Amino acid sequence: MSMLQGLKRSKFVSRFLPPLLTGITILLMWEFLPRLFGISALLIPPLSQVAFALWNGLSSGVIQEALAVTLFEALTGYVIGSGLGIFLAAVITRSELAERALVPYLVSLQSVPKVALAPLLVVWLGFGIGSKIAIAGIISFFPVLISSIIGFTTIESEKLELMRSLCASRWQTFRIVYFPNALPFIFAGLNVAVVFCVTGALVGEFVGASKGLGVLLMQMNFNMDIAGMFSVLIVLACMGGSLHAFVRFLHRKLVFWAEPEKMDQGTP
Amino acid sequence: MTTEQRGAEITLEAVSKHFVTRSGEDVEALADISCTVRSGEFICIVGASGCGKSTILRIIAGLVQPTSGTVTIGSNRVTGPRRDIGLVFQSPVLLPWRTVRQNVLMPAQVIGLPRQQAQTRADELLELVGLDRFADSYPSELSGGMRQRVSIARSLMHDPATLLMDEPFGALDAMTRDTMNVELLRIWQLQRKTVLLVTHSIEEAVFLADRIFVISPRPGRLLEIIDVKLPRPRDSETRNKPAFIKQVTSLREKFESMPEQKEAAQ
Repeated sequence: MSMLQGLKRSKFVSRFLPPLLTGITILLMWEFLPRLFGISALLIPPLSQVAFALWNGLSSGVIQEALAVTLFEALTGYVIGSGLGIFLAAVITRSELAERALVPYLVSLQSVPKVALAPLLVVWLGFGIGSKIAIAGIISFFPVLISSIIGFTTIESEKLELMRSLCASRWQTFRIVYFPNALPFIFAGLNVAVVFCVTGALVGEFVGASKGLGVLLMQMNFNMDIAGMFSVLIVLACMGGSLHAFVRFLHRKLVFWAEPEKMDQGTP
Repeated sequence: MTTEQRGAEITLEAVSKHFVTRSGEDVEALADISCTVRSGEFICIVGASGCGKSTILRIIAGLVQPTSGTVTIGSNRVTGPRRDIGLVFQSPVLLPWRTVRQNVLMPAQVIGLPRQQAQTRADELLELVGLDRFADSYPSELSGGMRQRVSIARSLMHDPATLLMDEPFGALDAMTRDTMNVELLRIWQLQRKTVLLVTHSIEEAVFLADRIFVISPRPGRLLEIIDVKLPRPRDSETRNKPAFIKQVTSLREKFESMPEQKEAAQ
């Protein structure tokens, strides 16, 4: 019994101890190295100052308020953009006419750096959240579109023959076979897009906005509040990490049946 | 299962199929195939790989149109896919996101059979193929032989009169294959469908079939129809009987005398 417990403990140690140690080392270096080498706290504020700035931001509610705005922009854009990507991929792979009419343009648009559209979208849609949702949406749209197209076209021909032999309608074939079959690929795109959508919202806020974490970052930059900027970066990292973790959770729940190599396809 | 549909009679009249390859070449896959399959009969189609055996099944299923000739099932000419046919492929072609029961129910869902009735039938079929304990498992949790049983149960779901099987046990190991052959005969004895089964194993063909259609390669022609004179019901003991071994040997010799058929005789 004690051996079993020892074994369990050693597994815990070998699994969680290394990353924990790395984390502690980095935090300690962050706190003490700048002082040791006499680097100005203005450039690299020690951990304690950043923690203090974070505490200040959170207790005054400034960070939560900005976080809510940016999160809403990023998520709304993500849902609209990837929804549109899946829908358009389904239409394109269903209809040869749509494929011929749309694919050349979508492919050439895909090579345009989407963030370059941000200034234009802010002019068109204003300083409010609309322009940020648009940028987050556009930037989420393409990876989901491309991976969904691959998903809707990667299919065992026998599955389709089986459906044909049952005289299944196009909609039945799509619902019963094509769509679930494409899910591992769709999720590969969704995993990429969920990281992109935060970038989109932030870039939009940099270009012109009155609220959001991007705005907060710019204001702090202007005031040379480096510790504050680090605190916002930490919040952004947590937000991005949680969003990605949530999508991966959905992925595992919904695509539990896929082979592991398919599951991780195209996921960064 | 009391409302079983009887097997259908199938007639092929001068069926030919030409394919145009990507390079623009015209390939004759099947040439002038005429035969009649009696109602409830078990037919094995034997021939070398690439002789168009699978194409015959796809033409009967209405999935592929013949270049010329006609196929009749019962009293209807085949013009396209039809729901009185059950298909079994070499791979089980299961939907991995559905449980075993949901996979078996799939044809009922497409055709729109009453739910309650379909559920009952699915459970009966799973019992028939010996998988009632695995109804709620996912295909990835089953062995290759079990997956193929699911696919057989699914092919019977909508009670088709005809079962078309394209090398259904070709991907299984020899021992599982022998067991599945016995199983298939047991199922067929309970549900008298007309069965056309494509194989390149002579033992399998002799063990299963009432008659064996021998197809020549490129173009596929019906070379010979062989009557298998083995009593039914057959079981694993049948394979040890002199009559079985004699049939297999004579059929193998016949294949070996045709140089282009060597591949199939292995």
